[in-house]
Amino acid sequence: MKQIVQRLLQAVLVLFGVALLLFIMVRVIPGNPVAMMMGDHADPAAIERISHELGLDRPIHEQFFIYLRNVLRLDFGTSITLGRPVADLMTAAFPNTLKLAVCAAVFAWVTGIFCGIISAAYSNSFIDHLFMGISLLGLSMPVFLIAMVLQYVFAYHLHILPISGTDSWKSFILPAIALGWNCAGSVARLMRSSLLEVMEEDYIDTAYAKGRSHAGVLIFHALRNAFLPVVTMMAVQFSALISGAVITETVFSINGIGRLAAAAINGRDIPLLQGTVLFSTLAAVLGNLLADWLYLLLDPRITEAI
Amino acid sequence: MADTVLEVSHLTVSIPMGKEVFPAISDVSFSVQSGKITGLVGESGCGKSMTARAIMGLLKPNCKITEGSILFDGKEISHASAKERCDLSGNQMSMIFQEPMTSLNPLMKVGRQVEEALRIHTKISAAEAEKKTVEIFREIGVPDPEKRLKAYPHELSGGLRQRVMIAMAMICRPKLLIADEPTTALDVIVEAQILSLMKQLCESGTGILLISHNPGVIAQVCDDVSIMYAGTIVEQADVYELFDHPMHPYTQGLFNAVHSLSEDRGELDVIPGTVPDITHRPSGCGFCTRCTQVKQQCESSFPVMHEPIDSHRVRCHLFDGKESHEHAH
Repeated sequence: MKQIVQRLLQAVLVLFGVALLLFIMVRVIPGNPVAMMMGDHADPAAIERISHELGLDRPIHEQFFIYLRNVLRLDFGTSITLGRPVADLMTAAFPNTLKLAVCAAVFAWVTGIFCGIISAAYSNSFIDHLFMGISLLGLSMPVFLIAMVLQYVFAYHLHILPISGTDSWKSFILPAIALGWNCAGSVARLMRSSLLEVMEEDYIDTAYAKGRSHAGVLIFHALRNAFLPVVTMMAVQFSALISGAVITETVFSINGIGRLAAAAINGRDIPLLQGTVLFSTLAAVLGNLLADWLYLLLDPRITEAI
Repeated sequence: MADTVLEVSHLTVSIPMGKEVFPAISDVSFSVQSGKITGLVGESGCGKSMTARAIMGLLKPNCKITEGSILFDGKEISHASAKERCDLSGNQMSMIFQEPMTSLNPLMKVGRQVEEALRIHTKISAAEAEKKTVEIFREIGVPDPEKRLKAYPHELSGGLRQRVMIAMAMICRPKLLIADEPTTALDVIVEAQILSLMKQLCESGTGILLISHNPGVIAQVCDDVSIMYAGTIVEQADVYELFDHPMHPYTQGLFNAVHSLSEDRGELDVIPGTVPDITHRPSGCGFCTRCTQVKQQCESSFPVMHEPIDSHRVRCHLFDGKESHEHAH
């Protein structure tokens, strides 16, 4: 219990730190954001008026507290390029990102864990080399390349899946595979090595000596132990997936958090950028909390160690 | 006359090293009687654990039994199928390992691990299995058994963990228990407790094969002893005969190395040299490079087992032509 509270406090601290950093960075960037927003031929008086309206002429610490209060109210201001409240934009984009992340995660974990277990069970066989070769390909190929190859084959050539958009559940298949491919590769490799390592442990011999069959040893003794590092990796992966896949969402024209982030950077849209970055931070922090919590749940030795 | 539970004869296990195949153990023969403890002594790397693993069917995939037989309860098991192994292991024969720290699954409560063998081999309800586990914990001297069932291995001391291992091995009342260095990782007081527990278990009818590198441990509890060196058994006798009249130069050296305090403490008696590596074993007697009484034929010809006194066998050229039955004529 004490550890959980400690972890939560740490998480809050990280979020506060990132918020502070974002605030400072925005003030440090040269140039007046209002002037930039209004274009080259703006009336200086108008710039001053708008700066006053936005509170930019107030003392810096006062601005920080207003900013912090707004963030806590989930009010990130209005997007400069899109002209709508950042919170609304993100609320509209989040379901797409969530759907994509869940699909990608399910694809990555199911295939990754399956291939990892098969590879370990038949280590150094043809099937092991095949799976590990594919996973290495998955790890080393950039997402946009996988995405474009998938689009070319399944949408352009075979016409069996939509090339982009979010119209139906089918639209999510290709982006989920493109996004999940990488994760699947790393999960498969970690699962394999972890399982092979566990199979060398003394308690595996004990299980055989008790009369467990190969399958019994695998299911009742090896897998749960081998899962420990994989679960941590999965939690971290999910937080990365959910904070928005900039490339995948762009290639497949999915209106998600990742595309908002890309738009914010391209358009120097500071409120939108703040919103998306804070969101990613929150996802990362929650992902790590989830990993800790899962570890606590799965490994009885951890209770004292944390 | 006690029943023979285990009869190992002329067992040879080969292991590939690089391109060649070497015998890790060769021509190993001994037996275990029910209700008795047979000791297997030797330095680390001499093939004791390999012998135990061969009996339990736990050899690594690259090790192969190339010769000899293992009769368990009259049945040949040296090439038993996986299915037959599953039926035997944990049920009729079981094993405890050297390291109680790593031999228990860290994620499973010890009670579950102990009752696992029961659940595999018998159709027993969960409540019944738990009752039996509590019983065996009590019998084996685990204090507060109901509470300990729910403990994880890391919450127990080394001695308790080894007791849990013993409970696990004994819960189906096997005919044979193989204990591979069960006390090596424990301190002396706990060692004594575990050894007296083993003695108590064998009195209930189980035959025990006790493997140790420590002649002291063997002397305390064993009935029959086999001395192993460089993959083969060099001497074999009942415990009193062996400790009173060690015949093989290696056995003599081994016992001299274990000094008693009453003697002069000045110089430690050591056997010079080290155990030859498996790839560099001499073609003759494995001990010839370190033996003080080495003769010419020791280097070239592998000695056969002699029986100079009834039931006392020794594998040494010093006893060539000195068979007990020849004396009888």
